[in-house]
Amino acid sequence: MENQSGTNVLVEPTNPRDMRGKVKLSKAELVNSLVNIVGVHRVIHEPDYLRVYECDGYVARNGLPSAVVFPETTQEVAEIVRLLAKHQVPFLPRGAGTGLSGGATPLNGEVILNFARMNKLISVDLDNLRAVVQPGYINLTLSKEIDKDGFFYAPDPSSQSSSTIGGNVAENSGGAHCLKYGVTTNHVVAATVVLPTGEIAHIGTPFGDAVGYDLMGLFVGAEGTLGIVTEITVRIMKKPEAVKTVQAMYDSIAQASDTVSDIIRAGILPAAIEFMDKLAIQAVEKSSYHVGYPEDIEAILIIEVDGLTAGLEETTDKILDICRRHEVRTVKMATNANERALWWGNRKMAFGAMGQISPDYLVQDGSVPRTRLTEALARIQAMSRDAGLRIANVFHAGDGNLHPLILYDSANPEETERAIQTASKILKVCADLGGTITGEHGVGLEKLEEMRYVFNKTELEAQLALRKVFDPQNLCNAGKLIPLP
Amino acid sequence: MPKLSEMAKVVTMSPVDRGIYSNSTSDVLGFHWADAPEAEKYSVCVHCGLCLETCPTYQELRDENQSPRGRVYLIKEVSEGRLPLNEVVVSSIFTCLDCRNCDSVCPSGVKVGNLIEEARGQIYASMRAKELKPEMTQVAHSGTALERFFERKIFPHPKRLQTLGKLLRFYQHSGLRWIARNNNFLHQPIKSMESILPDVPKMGALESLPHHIPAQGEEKATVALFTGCVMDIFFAHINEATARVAVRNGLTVVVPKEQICCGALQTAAGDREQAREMAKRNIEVFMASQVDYIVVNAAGCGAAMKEYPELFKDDPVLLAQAKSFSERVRDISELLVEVGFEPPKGTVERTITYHDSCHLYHAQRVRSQPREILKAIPGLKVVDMPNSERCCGSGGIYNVTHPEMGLRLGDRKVNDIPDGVDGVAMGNPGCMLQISAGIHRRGIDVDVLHTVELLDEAYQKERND
Amino acid sequence: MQSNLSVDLDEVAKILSETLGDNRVTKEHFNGLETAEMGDAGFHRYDVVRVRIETEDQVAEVLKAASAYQWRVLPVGAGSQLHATHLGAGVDILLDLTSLNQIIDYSPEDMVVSVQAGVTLTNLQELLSTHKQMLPLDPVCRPGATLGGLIATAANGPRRTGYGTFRDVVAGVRVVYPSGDIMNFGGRVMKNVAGYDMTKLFIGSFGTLAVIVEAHLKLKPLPLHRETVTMQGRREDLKILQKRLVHSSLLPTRLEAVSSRVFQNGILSRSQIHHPWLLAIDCDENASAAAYQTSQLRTWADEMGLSIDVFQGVSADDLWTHYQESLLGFDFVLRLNIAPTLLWQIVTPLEKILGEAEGEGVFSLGMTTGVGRLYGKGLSFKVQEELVQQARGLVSEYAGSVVIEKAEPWLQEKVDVFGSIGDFQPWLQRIKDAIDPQNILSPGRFVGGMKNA
Repeated sequence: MENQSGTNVLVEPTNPRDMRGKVKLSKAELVNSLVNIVGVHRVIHEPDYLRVYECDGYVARNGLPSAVVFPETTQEVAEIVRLLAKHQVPFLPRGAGTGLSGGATPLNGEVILNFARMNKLISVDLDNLRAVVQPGYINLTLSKEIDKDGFFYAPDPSSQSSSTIGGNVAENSGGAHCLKYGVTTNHVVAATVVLPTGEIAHIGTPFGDAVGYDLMGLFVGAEGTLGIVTEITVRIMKKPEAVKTVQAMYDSIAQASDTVSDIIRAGILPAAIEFMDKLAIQAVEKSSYHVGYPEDIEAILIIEVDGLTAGLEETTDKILDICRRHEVRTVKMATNANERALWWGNRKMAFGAMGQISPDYLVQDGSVPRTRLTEALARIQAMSRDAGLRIANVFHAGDGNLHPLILYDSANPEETERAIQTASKILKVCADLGGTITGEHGVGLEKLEEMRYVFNKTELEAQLALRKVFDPQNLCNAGKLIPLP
Repeated sequence: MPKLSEMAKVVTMSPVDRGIYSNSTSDVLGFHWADAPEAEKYSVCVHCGLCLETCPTYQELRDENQSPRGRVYLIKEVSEGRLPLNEVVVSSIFTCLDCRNCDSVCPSGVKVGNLIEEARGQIYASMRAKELKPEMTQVAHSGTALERFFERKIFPHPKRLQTLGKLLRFYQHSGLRWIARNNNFLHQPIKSMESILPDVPKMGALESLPHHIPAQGEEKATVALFTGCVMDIFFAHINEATARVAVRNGLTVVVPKEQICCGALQTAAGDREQAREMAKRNIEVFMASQVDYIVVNAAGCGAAMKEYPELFKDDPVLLAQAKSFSERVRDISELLVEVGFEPPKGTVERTITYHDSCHLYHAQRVRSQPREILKAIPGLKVVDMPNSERCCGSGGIYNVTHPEMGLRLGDRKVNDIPDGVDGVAMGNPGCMLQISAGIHRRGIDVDVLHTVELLDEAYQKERND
Repeated sequence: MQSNLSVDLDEVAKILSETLGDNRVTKEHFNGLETAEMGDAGFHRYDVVRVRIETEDQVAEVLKAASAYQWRVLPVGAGSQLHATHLGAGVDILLDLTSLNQIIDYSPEDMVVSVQAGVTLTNLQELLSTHKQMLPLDPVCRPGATLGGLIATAANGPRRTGYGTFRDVVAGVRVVYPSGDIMNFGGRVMKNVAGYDMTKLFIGSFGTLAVIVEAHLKLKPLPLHRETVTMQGRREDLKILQKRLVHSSLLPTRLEAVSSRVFQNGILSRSQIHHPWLLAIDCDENASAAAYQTSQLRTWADEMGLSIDVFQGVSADDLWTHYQESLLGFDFVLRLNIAPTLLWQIVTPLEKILGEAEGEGVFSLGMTTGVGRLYGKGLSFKVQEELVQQARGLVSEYAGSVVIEKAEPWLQEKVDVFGSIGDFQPWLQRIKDAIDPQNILSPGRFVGGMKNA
């Protein structure tokens, strides 16, 4: 577990001298060259100013970048990348830095291309259901922008109020509503990309099927290792005419997860089914997003269905009926938009709210077939007992994507190590149950070793071979996503 | 949109203009004065980044050093001795508007605003001890000398404040104003602010109101009115309206004559020692009046007074008193809804919008009450303002210390005022001045109003109807 | 276009028989096309060795041998998609996967099924329907078409409006690389971001990278109620309707503007056809919702004076079965990819060409997907070529593309199947080189320069 040691402990800032063998540019020359491309006010290079860029939403490991540069156009990105490629300077793209697996963390003294300023909405074409955005454009801003016309952008990661669509593309972000609407890859249709060699390519197609191999599909979820997206065409959708949200409280986790199975078995396809266990509920109840859930509830399901108003009540009636058959303590429907927003706010803020009950937490992201949920939860509970660590669970039950939150105190190195070990064991269990190690947070730095639970040596080599096609010098977010076999 | 070159002047995102390879680290390590940012406050941050897009300075500058997450990270680094108290820290901490927008959205409940104020306290103390290089002071505030003069010499002294008010009145009504305006004595941002300063009334409400005003009808509770400084110099009529509205709703109003400025500006500037002195005085004065509530109509003051306990963490006795004081502090809209206000019968025929002052919406979480009051006024049409909770750039005296950022945020706020309204209501005098200036620059015909003014007008009209 | 003279097919057959057994290996004539459908043109007939595969290990064995001896291998299922591309360079071995046809794992509660490549779409749908589920895709294909073939060619039909395409439903694949290595990418879970999304590479790769031996497919509930509305009207009225539908909350799962003729004789009688175009609008929601959708459409029809027909349950199924069967009979298919609002203006000049030519041509245009197809029958080679060139000229202004989905080899020889390829083409070639360095898999069967790799 070499890669996960030292939680919350700063590693020494990268000494430029360490890179001397590799880098033919001095730091001064590098900064000068970057300044020549974008101007003095869009390059940060002094070490003290770089500190805040040493990690993303995953804080267990960090490293100082050589510089942070803020491009504003595809051409600038291409020029920067060409410069860096020419001199073999490692680099990586960063959106809002909300990623949970260290995908934007510089460990090789990378130059960070920060997309915070490349954040414009380029165009919206409602008649053809498409929008074109720059990578730094915020996910939720798009939905807000087209809301007045009754449209929305479907992928809704919990970070959507801050996370960028470029970052979403890199991570193939999911969200609560992807049970019905799919994840980022199902909604991104075309992109302009700057490849690690500095060449510009236009991949995917705004409509229909792209000619050639599905490079767009390959780029989504590549964690910025194959190139950098600089313009993204996404599918937008008409908002459903009606939405109904059901909240069900259970005294037993098993009953709650059986409810989920029965809903699916009944041929109902909800937009979302979210699950929170007791500890998670307690944490969020302490935050400003509290709903007023009783303290002794074992599990809560938030089930949402949407569609045409006509016929939706039949569906919710069926759901209420299924909940009642499973010894639900109370089940009710949101009576208005505010109540629905309150429930969702509470659910979406669950990760952050762990700060309310624990100094630190590790969030895992394993995914299992839905039918194995109950078993996975039981085994997580057992591991929690064995390790003597509290584990909260909040997850997308509809699609079997678990989010166990392992609570620990980083001030205690032994406990930290135990938390990391437990997290890894949980992922092993997910893999053993026919699932995978990450459903939506990405591999990044965090789950490199665990990749071996799901891929053998040949499969890893095949992926590295593909990376080499795009990044022959191994400069673009090197060391992330695929471990060396 | 301002040009990038202009933007970077506001906050030196990268200090390359001072020579690319300069490294201006200072030797001061850590926050070593009393009352430092506490580990239990900054360690709550899980680095999720959900605060980023709510931060006005991040929205404008797009640099993580100028975001709540970045600021908390820097505070943590300095606190734990990994980063000296240097330029990036000072610039980051002092560019914060202390608007508390991040406090509102933080799922972990990090009190960013309080951390910033504590960090400012440390920087202020280091500056006073001449530990920091002089240019660091420039980074912290551009108008330091003048500002400190106000913070130390004027605001803490009610008599001097009243005198200042009188001087201002003299300035406005004599030929002095004309001379100043026509001779480019004033810098542009100050100028635009100066040009819209309301006429200063002859006398503040602290002077004009009687000490004791009995409730109309059955007494529901007793309240002590906090009159504030900016409010009482420029908007004494709002203090009077506040008293009338309170009395009308069964509240007996006491006006403690020994009260002084709340100290919010001092806390924001990092002068916690001075702020503590002022808080002590107010606690003493108001607790002596033995009222049920302390009612405030200025959001900034209300927030500061509700947070007095933050200033006395190291003194259990004063801490207990501060807590007992703070528990009684209410914004006027909050109190009216809490005790139940009588819907007015008089009509106010106009269309307005409502701006959420940061220190009401984020710091005090008073959100629905002002709207409830406005909705209760017959004839008044309230149109929603987009992004109503985004900071207007006033930030206490931020618009004076960081004029360019203040201007940009002010213009953004005025652009958000919906078409077709003739007034914009709010609950904070700083916002009122700032938005008035923006409206003046834009040249539109919109009145800037306090929520209580409208309610008072509706009650007044009852008699006429 | 000939068999590889350096390869002795008898030797190939002998070596493979030794490894796999005599009964699996036969030598036969191959004309590059599915004979039953296209007729024996005799144009590109040459000898090949057909290997009938029953296990994935056998696939690995064949590919290992092919790599060692540089034999060219074409993976085939029912052969129903072979007309989709050029087979320029010729092949030595037909890797017949029709017997690799087991359902490996079906878990209705997980809404996932794992199938081997040779399972036919028809058989799969039959099985799924017993559990009230379906694979929500409806490409126009013969009943024998295998999932391996359909995935490899990214076949799709009108249901993409509501459910997407194979790239949206394939959760993972098991493939055999040209090296003989068997690999798994993706899996049986709904969400999976471990590693690169390699699965996407193989979908629509026309068998040029690896042999898909197994796929994990995400399923949907079988709609309990089926309702299709057809609305006929002037083209201008249908355009208005198209816009109204996009801006409404209605939930069509299929939304196609179809030449009315497609439904003549069988669904609509001659007297029921009033206009050359109709909109076919599907609803897979429950009965109440479908009734609401139909009533909304009826209101619009009344308002605009359109004629409307409603099909429910079995009669809705019949309508779409008829659509499939009738379009299968066309031997020339062009796919247009363009903004939905622009489809009409591309189609008009094509209709003009068809109007002046011998033979027949009909259209089916996805009103929200931007995928339109021209189906031709009895058209001369010259007309076909003219249609392709004209369409490509028209879409080029709008960053659209035109792909020949079905044609006889002589057209594919003359006109590039995929048309102009974007600035990413060098990377396509490099991917091919990285995965299949010896170019043994489906040589020449893919875009542009890979023909000559």
